[in-house]
Amino acid sequence: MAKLKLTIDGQAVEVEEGMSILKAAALVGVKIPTLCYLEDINEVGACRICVVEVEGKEDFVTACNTPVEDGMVVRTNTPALRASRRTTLELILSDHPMECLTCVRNGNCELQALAAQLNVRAVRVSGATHADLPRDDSTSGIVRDPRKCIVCQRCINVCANVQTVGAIELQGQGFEAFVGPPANLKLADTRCVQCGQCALVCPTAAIVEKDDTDKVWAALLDPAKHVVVQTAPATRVTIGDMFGLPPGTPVTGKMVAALRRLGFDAVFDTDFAADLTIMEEGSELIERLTKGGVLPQFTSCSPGWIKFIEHFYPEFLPHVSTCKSPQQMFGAVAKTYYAQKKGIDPENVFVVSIMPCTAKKFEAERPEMNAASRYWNNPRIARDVDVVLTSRELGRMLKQAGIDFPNLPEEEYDEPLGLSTGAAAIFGATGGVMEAALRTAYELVTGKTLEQIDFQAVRGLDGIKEAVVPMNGINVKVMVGHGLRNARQIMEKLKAGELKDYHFIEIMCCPGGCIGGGGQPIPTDTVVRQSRIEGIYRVDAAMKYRKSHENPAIKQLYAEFLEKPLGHKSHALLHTQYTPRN
Amino acid sequence: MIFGSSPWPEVAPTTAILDAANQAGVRIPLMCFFLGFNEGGAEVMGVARVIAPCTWPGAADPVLARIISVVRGLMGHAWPRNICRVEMTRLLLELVQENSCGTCVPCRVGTRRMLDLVGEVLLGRAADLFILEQLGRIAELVGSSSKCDLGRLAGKLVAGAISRRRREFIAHIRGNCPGTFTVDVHLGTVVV
Repeated sequence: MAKLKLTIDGQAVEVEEGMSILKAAALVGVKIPTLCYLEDINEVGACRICVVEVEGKEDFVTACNTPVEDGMVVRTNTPALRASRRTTLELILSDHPMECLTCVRNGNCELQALAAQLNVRAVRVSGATHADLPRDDSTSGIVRDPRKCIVCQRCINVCANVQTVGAIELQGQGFEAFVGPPANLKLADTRCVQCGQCALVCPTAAIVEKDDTDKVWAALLDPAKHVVVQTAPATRVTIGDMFGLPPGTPVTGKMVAALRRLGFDAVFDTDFAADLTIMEEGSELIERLTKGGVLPQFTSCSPGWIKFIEHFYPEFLPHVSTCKSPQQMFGAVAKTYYAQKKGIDPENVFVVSIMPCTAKKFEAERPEMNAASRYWNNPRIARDVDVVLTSRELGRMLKQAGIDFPNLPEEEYDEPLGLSTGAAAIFGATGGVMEAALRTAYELVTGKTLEQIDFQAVRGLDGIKEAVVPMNGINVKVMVGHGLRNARQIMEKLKAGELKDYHFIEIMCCPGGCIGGGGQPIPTDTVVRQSRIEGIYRVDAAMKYRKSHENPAIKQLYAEFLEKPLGHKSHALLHTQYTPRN
Repeated sequence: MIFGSSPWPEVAPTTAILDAANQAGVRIPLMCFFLGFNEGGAEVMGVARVIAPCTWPGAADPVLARIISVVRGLMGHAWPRNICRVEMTRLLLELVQENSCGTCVPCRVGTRRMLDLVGEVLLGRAADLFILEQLGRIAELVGSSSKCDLGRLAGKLVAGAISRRRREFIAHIRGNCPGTFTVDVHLGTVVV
């Protein structure tokens, strides 16, 4: 690439051809204000906040999507630009409900931050608004409040391009333009998979997670209920974000301490259930391999991915592992094995999940996720998992409770459902389920000890990763994809018959895996995702046990209750079926 | 000359430009075609100076290209007869709003706010001349910062109108608009 020379605010800078003015300016310490811009996802120049002056051009240009030119003379901070940006922002604010004090994004809103940055002290324009647009809380996981939408199009582009779902569109003309599902559908009636990537990128509170914190406060107050909590693998490297800790900081022990202080009767770990998932899913894979089952087998932990394949590729559902996700395995075990072991009426066991994910709320509400009710033949046991909270909701509860998170001591999970391995922790990152499965499958198949347990080939943020692992003469071919765009690519290859010699494929709905889930702290960008992935492998490396089948609590569970993987009770409690949605 | 080809038509002194053009065999695109109403008739709404749509860069959509060309045409000196500039500005902003893709803030919100302000001027609701400052401020932004030519031209048009035809706006604000201002049009300006 050729180098181009230009001047930005009087400073000479030499950059690669094709770079935007925005990025070139950043190199010389000029941070041009932006609003709708989101690197690689939304570079549409919709908000017009990042306008700059270019010598020789009559009108302003947007820095975010204008490439540099040789000899360009750019000014970013002139009276005309400051006036333009401020008036643009005032126009946006003139159609924005000024509900900052009662808004869920108060203090974490990009519009609010920009108003502060641009020194807006009054909104000098007024007129018609979109205050009458209805709220859409039709889905389990996501709530849309179009009144707060600034039509930046981030959600549209993340949904259409990163996830290839395209559930929401820009509709209407002029001022009446709005973002929503086509044909006035409710979001629940679209092919939305409820991954929440839209909520993650929304600069305001126009798309947010459904808030279920009140249900948890109520359960914690109820003396009849034995309230247990499970924490997803990815949450242990993300909760700290909301309390000023650097992204990716492992906070497992502090999170346990915080949950105990909120008043949960037992603090357990979804990682325990992730180990259980590996036992079941690994055994399922071995069975498919040895008995000629449908291959390649796909993972089933990610509820967004499950809903995606149910909508878009239902004909390939037999490829998906019948294993429930760890969250649902945990709920089923907590209300059967655990209740029985502790002598608690399973009706009174109340299971709360802390998840990185909005789709987990949908998963917990799926009609078939009532295994405990069926097991005990008791219709008063409603759901296996009663309430799902996203990482963000837990952060709000902890703040509300006045818990000084960064200064908490490190505490241990309760037993028996709190004991887990490093293999379970890495479920939180793309490639983690695959790596955990390989660690166990290798030893179960070969009977030998796996010397090199780090499978670097399946780690990291590359869209699609592959590896070949020899096991007893079979070269097990595996593939890992994250983000539904990559999932779609893999499905198209499967459709074309190109994946016949593959055995096991991991798909995570969200880019980066669960550490980049739609319920995670905002902001979650590529840099943050990378830090969290590093954090999760640090957690893995520090664990006493690093292979799921070595987890003593899992061995105990099988010995005392389940008997064996894929056994009768496993099928009743830990396995499920899917619903074609075409 | 009309469009540099036809001979000067012999017309009566009060003939509308459009009628003159029609007599000369030249079809002038009409605002009312885009606006979807026709009660004023072609005599009121005819837009004289029009750039061929296909020559306008960056406007792949032929409808958008025609609109841009109409808006651009109105920035010139050829104005319909017997129509107040404030009214004309309102009609234009309606046109832009109806055809704005809604992507960028200046066009989506800005032209709507300007439309509201011009509406207040027309209805005699503006309290004082401050409204023209507001209008000018938004027009400046919309003209310089919109994403495409539709918004940019609309902003410039409004900015031009309130500076060059300020007395018409002031007349409305003060409630003494004489109703029409005959625009100084002669056939020469029709030539593209």
